[in-house]
Amino acid sequence: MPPPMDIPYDLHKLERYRDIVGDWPAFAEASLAPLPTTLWVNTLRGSREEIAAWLADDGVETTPLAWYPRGLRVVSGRPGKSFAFLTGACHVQEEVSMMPIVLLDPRPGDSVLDLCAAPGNKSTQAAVHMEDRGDLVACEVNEGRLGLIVRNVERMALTSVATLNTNAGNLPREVGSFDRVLADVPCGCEGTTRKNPSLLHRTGIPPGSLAGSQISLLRKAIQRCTPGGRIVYSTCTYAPEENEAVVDTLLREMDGRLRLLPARIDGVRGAPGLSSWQGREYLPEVAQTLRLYPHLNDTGGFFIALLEKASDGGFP
Amino acid sequence: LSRDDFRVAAEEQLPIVDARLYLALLEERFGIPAELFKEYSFFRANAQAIWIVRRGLPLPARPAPYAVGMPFYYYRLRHPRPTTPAALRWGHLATRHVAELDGEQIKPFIGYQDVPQRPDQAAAFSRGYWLVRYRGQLLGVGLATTDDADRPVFRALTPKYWRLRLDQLAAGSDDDSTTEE
Repeated sequence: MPPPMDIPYDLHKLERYRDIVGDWPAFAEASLAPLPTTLWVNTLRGSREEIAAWLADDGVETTPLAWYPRGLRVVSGRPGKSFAFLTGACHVQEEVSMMPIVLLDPRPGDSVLDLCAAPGNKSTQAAVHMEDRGDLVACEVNEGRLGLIVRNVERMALTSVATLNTNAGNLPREVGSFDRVLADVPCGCEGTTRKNPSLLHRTGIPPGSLAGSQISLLRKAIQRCTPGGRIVYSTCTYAPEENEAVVDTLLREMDGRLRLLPARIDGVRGAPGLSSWQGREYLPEVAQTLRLYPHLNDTGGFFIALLEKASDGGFP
Repeated sequence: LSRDDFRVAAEEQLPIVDARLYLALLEERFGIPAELFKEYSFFRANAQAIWIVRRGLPLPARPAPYAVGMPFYYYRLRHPRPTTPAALRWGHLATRHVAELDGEQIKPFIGYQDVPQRPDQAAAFSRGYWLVRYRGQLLGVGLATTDDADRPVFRALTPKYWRLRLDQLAAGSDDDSTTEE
């Protein structure tokens, strides 16, 4: 059967989300548009204004991101060619990918665990948030990608990051416990079509097929989190099987010892988590998770859940 | 928050070294105060460099880390020198031996080639290591020395991956998201 006329052939893989994304034509258009380049500044080197000025010297014009005091959106020029990028004064990262760390909100003195760290974008962002005065353990299972983390740590010149080559799903107790844990898990990547349009043409991973490992990783994140600490679970995909369903599973499994906090950022337009999908009902509080669609903020697509683990005496 | 912690301080797990010699060199050559580094520890990560880590950084007891902190000083050289990350992080505190390069000089510097010197610089560059600045930004470390014919040269000491990146840029395969997943 030929596709309905209002769906570019490219978007067939995303059609299953037609009824949940709100404004489908806007979603469809945005999903095929090129992605704006954004970056965050390494505040250990200078203020956002100073680093924006260095970028401008190299022909990269930027404008501040309204919702993120460390963020810049590129108006013109190639930041990857700038000295500021080469020397680690700034880091190119997609706008939505900066949001998990903003919600995790690590502070100087905190201990942070990043379960799936390569290439180290969010790890280094967290370490910079902590002014290099916390401790961050970055885990990566793929040995070939450890170098990316180490190189980014060196570029940013950070002294508080330890990198582990390990499968985070099997992290032993001896790795310790952490105030903040990031589970930015491997996923179907449906939200990255603006950056990698070829995703739309490949067979790829069927939506939801990674749910088993995603559940293991979130479970491990909860286990390694200090009682009273925070966990961020995030993916760059739309499939509820990999998002709400994973969070719902762990909320039920933890039976009151885990709760959702509102994943909301001032100045960022998002949609609440779904209450059901294909016949499965989720707990009502799952609506506190955050769905980000390309047309809402001119970004990629993303999903974020912010969780709190009960302290020994339960929740206050 | 209470931590049932299995982690042990970096000082108990890593081959810690006394870095006073290198800190003294840093202070003597560049005026970067040694006492600034009281909140750090130093260890021998490999045969080339002393690495720096935040003092007391708790490390997992198991599995053993693949990397901790960042390289700080190349100690195996006849004349030890600060690494590029160290220059990038603390170079702005230097009070002497900081070379301000111009637009003509910066590309060879990034590309690990000898930097052509302006007449005023050749006289001013005393032999030894220099921190390099361009438009007010710290970029790394250079060496003022002489070539085989005893002519003064200014040698770039920049990381290998900068050169690779420069080659990529020259080849037109610029991917600004380089490391983004």
